[in-house]
Amino acid sequence: MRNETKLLALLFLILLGVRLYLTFQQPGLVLDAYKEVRNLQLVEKKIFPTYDQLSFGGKKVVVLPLGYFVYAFFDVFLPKMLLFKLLPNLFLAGLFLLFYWISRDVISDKRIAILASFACAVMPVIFADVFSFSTLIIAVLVYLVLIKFLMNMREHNLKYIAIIMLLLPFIHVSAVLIGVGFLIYLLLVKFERLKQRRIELEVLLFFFVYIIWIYLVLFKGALLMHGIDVFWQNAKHSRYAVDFLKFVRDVGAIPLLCVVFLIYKYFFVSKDKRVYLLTSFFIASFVFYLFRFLAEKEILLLVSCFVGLIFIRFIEDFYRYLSKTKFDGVKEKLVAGFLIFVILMNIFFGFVLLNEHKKLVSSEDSIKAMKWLREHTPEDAVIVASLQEGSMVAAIAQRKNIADTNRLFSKDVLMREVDIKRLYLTPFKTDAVRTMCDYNAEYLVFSGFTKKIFGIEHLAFAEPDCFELVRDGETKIYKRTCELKTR
Amino acid sequence: MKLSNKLVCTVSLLIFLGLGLSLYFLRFGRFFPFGESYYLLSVAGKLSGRDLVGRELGFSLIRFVYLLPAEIIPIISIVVGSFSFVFLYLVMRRLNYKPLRTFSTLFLMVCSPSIFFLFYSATAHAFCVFFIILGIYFQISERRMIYSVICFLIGILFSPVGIVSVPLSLFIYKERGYGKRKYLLIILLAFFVHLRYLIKNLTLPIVRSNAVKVVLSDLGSRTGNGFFCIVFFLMGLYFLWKQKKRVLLFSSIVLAFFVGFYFNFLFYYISFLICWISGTGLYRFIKMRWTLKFFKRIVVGVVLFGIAFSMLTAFVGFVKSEPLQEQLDGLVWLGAHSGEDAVVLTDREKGFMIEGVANRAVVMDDLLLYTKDARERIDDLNAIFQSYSLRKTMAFLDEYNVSYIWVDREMRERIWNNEEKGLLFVLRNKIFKKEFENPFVEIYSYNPEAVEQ
Repeated sequence: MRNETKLLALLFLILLGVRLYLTFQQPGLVLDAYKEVRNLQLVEKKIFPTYDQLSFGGKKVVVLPLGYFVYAFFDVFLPKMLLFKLLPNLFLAGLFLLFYWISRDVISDKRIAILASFACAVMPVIFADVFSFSTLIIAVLVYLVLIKFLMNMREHNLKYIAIIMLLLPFIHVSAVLIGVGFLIYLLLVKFERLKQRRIELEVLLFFFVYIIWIYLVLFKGALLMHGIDVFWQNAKHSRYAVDFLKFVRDVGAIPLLCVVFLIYKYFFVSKDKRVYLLTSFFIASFVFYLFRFLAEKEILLLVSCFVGLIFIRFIEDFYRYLSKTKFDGVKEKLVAGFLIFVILMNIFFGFVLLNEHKKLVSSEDSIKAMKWLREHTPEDAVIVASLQEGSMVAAIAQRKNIADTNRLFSKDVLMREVDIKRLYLTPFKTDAVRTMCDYNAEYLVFSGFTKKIFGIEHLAFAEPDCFELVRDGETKIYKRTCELKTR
Repeated sequence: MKLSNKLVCTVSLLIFLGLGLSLYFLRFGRFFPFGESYYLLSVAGKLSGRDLVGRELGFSLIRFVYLLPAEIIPIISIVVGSFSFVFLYLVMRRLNYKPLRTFSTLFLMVCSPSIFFLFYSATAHAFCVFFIILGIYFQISERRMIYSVICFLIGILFSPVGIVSVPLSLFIYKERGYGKRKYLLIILLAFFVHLRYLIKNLTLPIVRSNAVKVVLSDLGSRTGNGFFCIVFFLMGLYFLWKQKKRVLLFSSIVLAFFVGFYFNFLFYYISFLICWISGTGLYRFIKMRWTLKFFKRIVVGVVLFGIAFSMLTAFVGFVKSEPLQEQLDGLVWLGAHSGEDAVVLTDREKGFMIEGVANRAVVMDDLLLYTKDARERIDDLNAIFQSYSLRKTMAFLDEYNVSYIWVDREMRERIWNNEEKGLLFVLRNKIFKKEFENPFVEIYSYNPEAVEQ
């Protein structure tokens, strides 16, 4: 085995090892991931699920199943814990190999290419994403493969490109971003008066039309129900705040700075279609971030990947530039030093972000509480939990919730969210009983996370005459024993 | 089979007739999707005077159409729509359009939910559009300008929007040299029939719709077109722009869109323009040379299916649209059991339905443009729907002489989120008596004397 291959394998194993060590430090997943777990359960029952009996007490859903098929395949022989922890981290660590595969076309020095790819694979958002379970991770891998093929578009590549493009919309909704990226690319090439290859135009046009049509068909019902709110997954009211400092920190300050410089160079000094292709995806993802079309974590992951790809190109340009200076003799050492510095900075900010993510990871006791609910409550019981824990109720407890973060196809999502908040904060027993009766809810989960988000230590209304404490611990479960009839 | 102009026209006609007749039979007994058609039913007998809300009625030939039995009107409208397509085809043939271009334009028009809804709902605009198209056909057929002017005249007597035939005719004269300008004065004179009524009654629009929602039928709009149609419209505009000679056309499009966002019904007319320009875009797109033939076949197939899909989903929406059979039962009961002068409180979207079928007055309907105190009435309605105060509700009901309240499931979901709040809470009081109930509709009578007893 050659030295470079050994180094590549070693770094991959180290990265995977660290990720697995970190992920197994916590028993659960981030709360958002349970939405995906629930979707996986639905796909395992029916290839194209259209209805979830548990979410929001039962509502329509649209699930893009292809990513879940991958997880479902491994679900056959992997225990759940390994499936949810090992696979996503394996895929995310695999990004390193993909970055390297792409960088081999760009960077001539193999060792520099390995280091640059490693720097991209440990970008703060990617590094800190150890507790996730999502189909976006699979989608990101596919996007990178597609970009690799697009950068070297030849006749013999076309069949792979066509297959990937046909499958892409069924993996993750972020495929729209790729479509938008293509459109921006076509415009950039037009504005810069570069020669557009016919074959390239046709392929990109094909994808653009295809993806719009597929999503128009799949999300028709949601479009009619929510109108343009569907772009925000019916969660316009609870979008994250755009914070550029946080954006820079999460994506990686130094790579981002390098990317901005490279974009400037290729927009105003020289021209290169490959850079425009990568820049288009970066611009598209940044626009998605500004308009908050996807969840913050998802979009930052995508931005990071595209920044990583442009960063690789920056390293090659930097490397070439050094050859023309007096530092030609030490250029490898200089670039390697710079990359090691970037890696260290990325890992540092990755740990900062990781600590933030840990706060959103479900605790062991809350998982046990959900399992308790599954074993001790009637199958048709409706459970009150915070919005973020709603998917846990559906995924682990297998019971109906009032609301969760899968808001599409819910007409009264805002009202439900307000009701849940009021329910936890109200000091009045009658108010709590009435709200629970409105949703036919019999059980209420009061976890450490709920305490944290609502800033309360106990439920003011939970007196034994109407709310029986059926499970004690860090996560308490109350059973409603009173009924309030309004008429 | 080789694509010919006649084949294109026949297929388009068959699609339109097929869709129209299917909708007619699928909605048999509840012919119109709810909207202005019901209002026209209610005012048909009142050729002068006032409507149920108390507005002065203007002049329109459409009221003569609505004197016919309600079952026949959609059929007549479908026939009028079919003839519109035939004349559009003849216009295109006169302009020497190639079969593929005719196909692109007619296919987009047949698959336009807005145009389909226009012709099926049998409003004045449908007939106005038909006569404008006929007028254009006569104009470009040359030596028949007088017929053309007569058609434009009839169009304008259906709807004041028919005045667009003047600039349209001028445009054709300027571009193609067909027709004579002097006749157009007669059309302008016809506009005076409407002028007095418009000056007296027309109010500024008070509810401006979401621009994207109005244009896109995929978002549930009845005035909009499918997503792909809009994409090809933009593409068509791009091709026209490249010709650099269409300043007037571009200015008209911008103006039409701007006005259309305020007066949404104008999009029924604008849709023809959109489809025409989209047809150019689609034609150029299909004609584009592709190196990858396989990709071309997929893309063109996807595009055509996408255009048809927008129509199909809109069609399903029309089939399912209100009034439902339960609502018709409620309306029949209301018509039979309430006094002729009874006023019904309901959401303004249900206003036309109650006026048209039950023939009873409502506090407010959707004809906002001709209602002087529309803003005040809308505010009052919103306040009363959300109010918990019995005193306030009674004062409002007394002010408008309301004797019945119509609540249905759609209103419950949309206005009160299925909760017993606002007016629904107030309706528990004994001064309101539930007179009619089925799984969809509840009708309450209001009897203020019950408080005093």
